[in-house]
Amino acid sequence: MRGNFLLLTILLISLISALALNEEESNNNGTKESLLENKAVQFVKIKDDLNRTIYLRGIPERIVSLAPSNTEMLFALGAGDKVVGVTSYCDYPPEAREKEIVGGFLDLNLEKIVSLNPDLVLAFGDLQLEYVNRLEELGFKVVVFNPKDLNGIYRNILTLGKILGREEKAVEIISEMKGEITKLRKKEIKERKVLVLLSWEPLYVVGKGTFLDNLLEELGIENLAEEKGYYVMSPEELISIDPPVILFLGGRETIESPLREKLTAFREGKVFYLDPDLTTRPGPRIVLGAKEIAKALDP
Amino acid sequence: MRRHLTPRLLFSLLCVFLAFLIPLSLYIGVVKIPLSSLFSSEIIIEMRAPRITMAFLVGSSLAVAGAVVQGVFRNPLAEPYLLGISSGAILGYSLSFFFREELAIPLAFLFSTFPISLIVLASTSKEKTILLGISISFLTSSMASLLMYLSGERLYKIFLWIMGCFHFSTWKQVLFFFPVCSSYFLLVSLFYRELNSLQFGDEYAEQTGVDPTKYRKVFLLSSSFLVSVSVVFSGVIGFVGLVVPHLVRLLTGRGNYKYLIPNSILLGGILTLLADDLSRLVLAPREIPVGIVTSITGSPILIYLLWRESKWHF
Repeated sequence: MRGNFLLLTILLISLISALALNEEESNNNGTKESLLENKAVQFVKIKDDLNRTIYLRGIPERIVSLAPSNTEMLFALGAGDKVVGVTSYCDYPPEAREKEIVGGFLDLNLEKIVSLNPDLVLAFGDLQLEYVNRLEELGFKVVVFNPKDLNGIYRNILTLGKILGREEKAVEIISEMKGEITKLRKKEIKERKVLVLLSWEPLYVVGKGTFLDNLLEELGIENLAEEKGYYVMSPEELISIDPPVILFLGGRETIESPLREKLTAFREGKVFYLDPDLTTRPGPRIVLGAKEIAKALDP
Repeated sequence: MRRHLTPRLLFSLLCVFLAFLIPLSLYIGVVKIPLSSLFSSEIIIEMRAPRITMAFLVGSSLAVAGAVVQGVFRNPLAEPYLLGISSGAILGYSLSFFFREELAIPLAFLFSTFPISLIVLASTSKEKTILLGISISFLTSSMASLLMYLSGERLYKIFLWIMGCFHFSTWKQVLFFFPVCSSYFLLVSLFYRELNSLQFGDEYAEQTGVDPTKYRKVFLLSSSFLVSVSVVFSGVIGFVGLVVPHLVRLLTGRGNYKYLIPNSILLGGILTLLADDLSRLVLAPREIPVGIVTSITGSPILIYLLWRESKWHF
């Protein structure tokens, strides 16, 4: 009997504390909102890729970037000197390497980020959500980019231009990018059907609905992968599709595999190893990636 | 040569050690904080302090839960995750990626507590409890593996979560976790006699006036609840729950729960805190998942103690 009673007490205590926590959270939100309404005039209002409306006060001077594509956008907009922290993958432009490193992409060091005292943290994708939540709890401004296609990249650049007070520069970059893509699209490309691989073992392919798929579409090239997202394809499926061209974005990797002889792309020398930094980062250099793809398909 | 410490001496030694370990843990980290601003820095107060508190509390919870589960099942290999608590949590966590990511924590909690509560309440003997628990554990872990296989780029994230970390510990978590674990400690300390009886078998328990079935349910349900909460906050931290009770038994030479519980609280907390310090320090600024560190540092200690215990031969 005593045991059951104590057990109930434990459950009750936890329930109460859970409720208390929830209460606290909703209160916090309330005060923030009203604060913003009062001072909305001084703030720059933007929308990030988590569909959140964010108000930023003035132009940020200390920015931490949590992805290579974000870093490249910041530098392209001429705000490299405002970047105080980057990830260990941020290697372009070369000056980015001189910044403090706040961790990898999914193993960020929160203490390091906080110690840099940023007035803006530029996060990426939906895999960094825990970090985003924790940083916001600690009172930092976080904007999340998560482009799903070329338009998403343009939109990110424009948003960042707005944040930095450099909208003109952003518009300039975007129209340049659009121009390049249109030029590439008009090019006579012989091979119009490709399969894009990220690794041979397993056969990790770029499927529909990804930003690379969208890039191919914009270039007028058909992606032979049929399923959605990035996924693993069975060797049998690869052989039955037998793509005329394979674009490999996983670095310079060669395989000794029985698959080799069975694939037309290998026999005809149509397996191309493209620079993953150019082709897989949804930033301003994606245009160079697009050029690489076009060049590979039309030697 | 003196082979064992008295439980009281061990407890005092651990207290002294902890008194040194806490400021040290606050001090070390990737960002150097000058000693003068040790108590005003946001990094210390908002990040390191809740983190080391959670590390200590989760470690002590796992250790005590391990001690209790081992006694209840009369099995030295029993550990808090035995009945599928961790695989259930992983299943719930992975499942959230296919619905709504915000549901990760509630789903993890649901899937870790629900099956085990059913098992404990439904089964009539300890053998049935173990067998049911292990079957459910296999079922949930294979389903979790399937989801992980299908989850593509999120695999790495799940993987990191499984190996445990205190990276995201907050005072809110402490505020929630502290009452839960201290009520549990209170519960098992009040019932240490019943635990002592249970570890000598059901017949002995009945002779001493302890209803084995009823108390088994109380202990298992409360342990599972506590461990589920800890998994939800800090992932699966192996080794502590299995080994700390054995360490205490080996160091003191006795298995009386009156002493086993307080010493497990301290040693479990200290070992986990130490592991967390190492995880922050060794590859800084990268962090090693704490579950890996607990096993790497804890195993040699256990091996050494077993070696000593067996009079210098296995």
